[in-house]
Amino acid sequence: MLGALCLAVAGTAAAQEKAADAAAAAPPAAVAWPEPSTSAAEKVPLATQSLLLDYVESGKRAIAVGENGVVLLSDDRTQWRQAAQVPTRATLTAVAAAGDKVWAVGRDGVIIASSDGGENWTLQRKDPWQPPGADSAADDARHGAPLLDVLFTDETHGIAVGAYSLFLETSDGGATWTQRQILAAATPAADAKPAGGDGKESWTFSKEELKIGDEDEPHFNAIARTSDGSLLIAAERGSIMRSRDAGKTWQRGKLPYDGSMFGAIGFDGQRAMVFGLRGHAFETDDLGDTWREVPTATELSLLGGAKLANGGAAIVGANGLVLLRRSANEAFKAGTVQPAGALAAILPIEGGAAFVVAGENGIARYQPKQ
Amino acid sequence: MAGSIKAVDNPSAFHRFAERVIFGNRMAVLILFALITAAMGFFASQLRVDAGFKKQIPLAHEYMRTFLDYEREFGGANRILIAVMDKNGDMFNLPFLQTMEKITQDVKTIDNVDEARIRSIFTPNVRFVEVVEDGFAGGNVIPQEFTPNIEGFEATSEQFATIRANIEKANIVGRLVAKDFSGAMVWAELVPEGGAGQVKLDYQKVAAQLEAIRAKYENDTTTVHIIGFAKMVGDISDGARSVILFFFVTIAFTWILLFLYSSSVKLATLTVFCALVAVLWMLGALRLLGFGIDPMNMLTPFLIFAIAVSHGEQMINRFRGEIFFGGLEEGTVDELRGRRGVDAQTAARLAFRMLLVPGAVALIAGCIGFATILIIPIQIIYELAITATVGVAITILTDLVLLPVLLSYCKLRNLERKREYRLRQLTQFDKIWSFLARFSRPIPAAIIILIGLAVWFAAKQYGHRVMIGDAEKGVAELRPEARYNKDAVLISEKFALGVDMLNVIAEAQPSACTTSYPVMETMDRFAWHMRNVEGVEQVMTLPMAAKIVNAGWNEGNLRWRALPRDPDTLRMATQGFETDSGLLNSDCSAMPIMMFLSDHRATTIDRVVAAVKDFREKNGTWSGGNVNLAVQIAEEAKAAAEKGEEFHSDKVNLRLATGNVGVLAAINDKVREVDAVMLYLLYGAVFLMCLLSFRNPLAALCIVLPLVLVTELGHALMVKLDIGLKVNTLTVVALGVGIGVDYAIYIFARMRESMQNGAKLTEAYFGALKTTGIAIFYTALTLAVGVAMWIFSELKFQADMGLMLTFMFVVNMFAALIFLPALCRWLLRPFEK
Repeated sequence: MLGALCLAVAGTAAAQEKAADAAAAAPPAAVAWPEPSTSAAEKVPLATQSLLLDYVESGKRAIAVGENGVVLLSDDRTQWRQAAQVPTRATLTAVAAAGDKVWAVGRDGVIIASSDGGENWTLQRKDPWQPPGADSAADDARHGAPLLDVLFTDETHGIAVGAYSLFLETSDGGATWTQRQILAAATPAADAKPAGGDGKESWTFSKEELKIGDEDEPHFNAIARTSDGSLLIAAERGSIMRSRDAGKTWQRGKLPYDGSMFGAIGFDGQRAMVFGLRGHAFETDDLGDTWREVPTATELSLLGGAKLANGGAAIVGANGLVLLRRSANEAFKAGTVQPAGALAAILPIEGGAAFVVAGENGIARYQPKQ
Repeated sequence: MAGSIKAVDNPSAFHRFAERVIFGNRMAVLILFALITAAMGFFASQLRVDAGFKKQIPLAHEYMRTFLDYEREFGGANRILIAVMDKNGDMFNLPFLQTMEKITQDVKTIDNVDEARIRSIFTPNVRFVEVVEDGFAGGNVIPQEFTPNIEGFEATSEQFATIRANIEKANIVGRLVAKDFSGAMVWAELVPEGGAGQVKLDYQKVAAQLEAIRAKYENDTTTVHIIGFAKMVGDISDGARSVILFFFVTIAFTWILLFLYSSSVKLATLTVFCALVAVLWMLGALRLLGFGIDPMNMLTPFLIFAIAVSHGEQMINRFRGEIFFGGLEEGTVDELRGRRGVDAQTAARLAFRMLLVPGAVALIAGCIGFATILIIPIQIIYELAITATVGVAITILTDLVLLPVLLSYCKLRNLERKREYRLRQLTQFDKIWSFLARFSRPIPAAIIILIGLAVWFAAKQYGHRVMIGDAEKGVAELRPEARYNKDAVLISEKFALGVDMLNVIAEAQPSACTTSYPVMETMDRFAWHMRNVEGVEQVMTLPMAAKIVNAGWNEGNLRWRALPRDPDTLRMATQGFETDSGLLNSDCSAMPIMMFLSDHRATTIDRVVAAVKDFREKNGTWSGGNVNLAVQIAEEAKAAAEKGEEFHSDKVNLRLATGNVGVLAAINDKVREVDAVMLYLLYGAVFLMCLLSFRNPLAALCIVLPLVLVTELGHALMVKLDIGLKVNTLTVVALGVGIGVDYAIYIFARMRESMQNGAKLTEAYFGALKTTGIAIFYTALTLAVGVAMWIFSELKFQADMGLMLTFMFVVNMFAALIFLPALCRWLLRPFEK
């Protein structure tokens, strides 16, 4: 009797098991993969800790942009909240403001714009990569290329630059964007031989070998404007583009260094600075006719920067590095933001007494030692 | 009055037969028992402690099928973490790095460690990568020329600086190296249990080897902290040994209680002896069933001992009644004093005749109680349920057969003095009994029932909050101050990642990581979505690593930290990852999304699992229960290739779950699922048994309802004490009910006899209390003392179980004494005055 009862109980258990399996096996309805460049950004609690790549100020407001279409807004530079509505989930690499308007650019060639201080955005352009054959544009190396920086001189005139010398311009506030080949017209510079290995074990392919054929189309990493309206593009592997006529014509230049420059700052007149790979920074007083190396005492790559008053500059880079000079003739002093993740942007706050930085760990405050 | 009972006067055919067989061959019965006991003793001596990881897992659960599918590729949840900490808080010194290298070497020699998966700063699978002008440079964290354990090696501060820089570049701070560089970790994984090689892991041996490493390297400057399932099992097994001491203490206590109750050394000893025989048989039976003693299961022998003693007490009680007064101990003292006793053999025979049915009913009900636990499809619970069921079944033989036969040979000395002692005992509690008897009057009964309902309702509301799974951080089986839990706390403080890990496996077409951007993008989006769920501290997955590599290919520019869309660039970003990274399987058709959680509390697990399910529902990234999409697509691709067609699929299947939290989630799921079902089955079984023996559904209800109340109170107590409802505690409830039902059955059996003889309810109840009340009180006390000892166990789960069971036994007794008569009044005799 006992055995029978035990068996009965065990039997029930087995039956239950089967029923549970049957219930679990129901396949859910199919949902198509949402194209990220046109999907709305998700609002998430940890947005301030995500990868953030650029800052801009529009009126009283500061705006930060980054991965997953995250746009953060702050009026006090301490509390940040996510924008109400962003129509893309692509990584936003740069943001620019002019007048009351704001534009952000990013991966998949997206450009979004806002006319309400960054709360609501509209998609102005997208160009996600498609397999060859699907689209005639697919044969262009610039198809699907990410945009890396954006600059607006006023509410209607803007330039966006990106990988493979992608250059876009608008004269109607971004309603239409026109792609332009500015390299063709420029004087090509002799490409110097890249620095050799440093004895460390290298991966099978160097960038050099993989990018054969692409070298006449260096990535345009950053664009800056000096006070007299001249434009400067910091590009891949020591290449520089400059324009003295607000972008109508461009000349190609070369730095006395073969590494890439990731950022550019325009100062007064024709003074500008570029900075990038392994701690290298160069400054010019004549928009690139001559360059002088700025000592930085670091081998960490410099990824972003901001102009300060009196020709001062704040530059951020890998491992939480912050370089600061308070005036044009001062030497850079180094500091570190903890946790020491790579930084991509810096924004002076409290009249330059302190800063907020942005990078792979999101937003952090940096208080320089006096 | 004596002999007025039906069973005693007119034994049924069954009673007559049973009596003839047993009492007709008393010697033969004893010899048979002696032989079986000797044999069982032999088998019991061969029992070994046997713990297993898979025993604790509901293997048929959806999550656990995923676990089984991938334990070979991604390792299971069977990880060991060995943290080596420098007491001065700085790991960059020669002795520390010497120790670190030696421990890394020593870990390789541990049995069943998967050598390829050992990770520390000294293993070649931990590398750093950095961006230089012309691409990448990489290497091992410890430079080749840094050989701390070679004679005459002198370390320079530059070398320490290099190592520190390499550690930062390798992105292992918080994982293999403490956040503040005060120590470093060795990660090891054990090879999976079972499978083709039929690996049987000896966890205690592994634990001992780990402990040996600790002993060897822990000194004035270095501490060693070890966590992981194997170490936990070792610690639990060690703790469980303390139980053996408790066992002897419990036996001594029980004997003293029995002696106080019976005032006879012989009776006390015989009861304990029969209980020990039951335990010995049960242990022998375990061996015969092919089980070992699992540390989690160490308490079952206690339980069987306690049950056997409590039923033995009833037998002794009845036996004394016969031997002193020649029948039931009803009536006044003077009346009883005038009565004559019978000889031992007759007394034993009569006691047997009287208790065979209620005893068997109670034991079988208990037996069913344990058998219902079988519905939890977890091996260790099967073992517990079967062990307990077999144990209780054996108790039927030892208490209802062996004990009366032994009693029949028992000659009590000082019979007269013992008789007087018993008479005093009987009258001592008359005031209490008559007070309790009032509860069976209509109005007090109604009030009591209302109170019962109110308490039940309140307890139910409060008990609803009982948490499934672990209610606290750390390993709930061990006490918070145990070394293991302290080590766990230290590791979670010093390192960013704890041990609590939930892995979702993304399944897709072969080579998905190089050919399908949608698959990778979905995984990346999922990872980011999950990172934003409260309780998820960090997420690691292939697309995240691929993004970093992609930025690396672009000179470390952070703006390139994104997944490339075109397959050529995507391949560049992912091809560098080997399977030993744990981020992908060999053909990249399965990639885990590893989530490190803040803890493994049930609320955390529930929240994270719900977020996973919500995401995959909304994104159509789930192929349904138990579907292995990687296998399915590989077959489709093969079929397409045979037809010469192109095949491409961007489908992705996010499968829950591996990692220790995946296992816990599956267990919690099962517990939740069976919790209610098990209780209803239990009540149903008890109801049915009572119905069969008392032939009255209302009577059965009188017995079951107090149990329902006590069970709810038990849940409320768990909430109060922060004890989570998990596999261990779930069984406690079943055990509590299985044993608690005894009291009600013994009382009701006596009341029913009296009522069938025309006694009124209140009289019958008073009589039942007088005759069995003390026995029941002592029984509850004996059981409670037996299990209350566990509160002092080194193991927290034993302490919790002890507390819970003590509560269940005592409260069940009171519930039987108070609510049973009240319910009888209104259910059985509503109109009687």
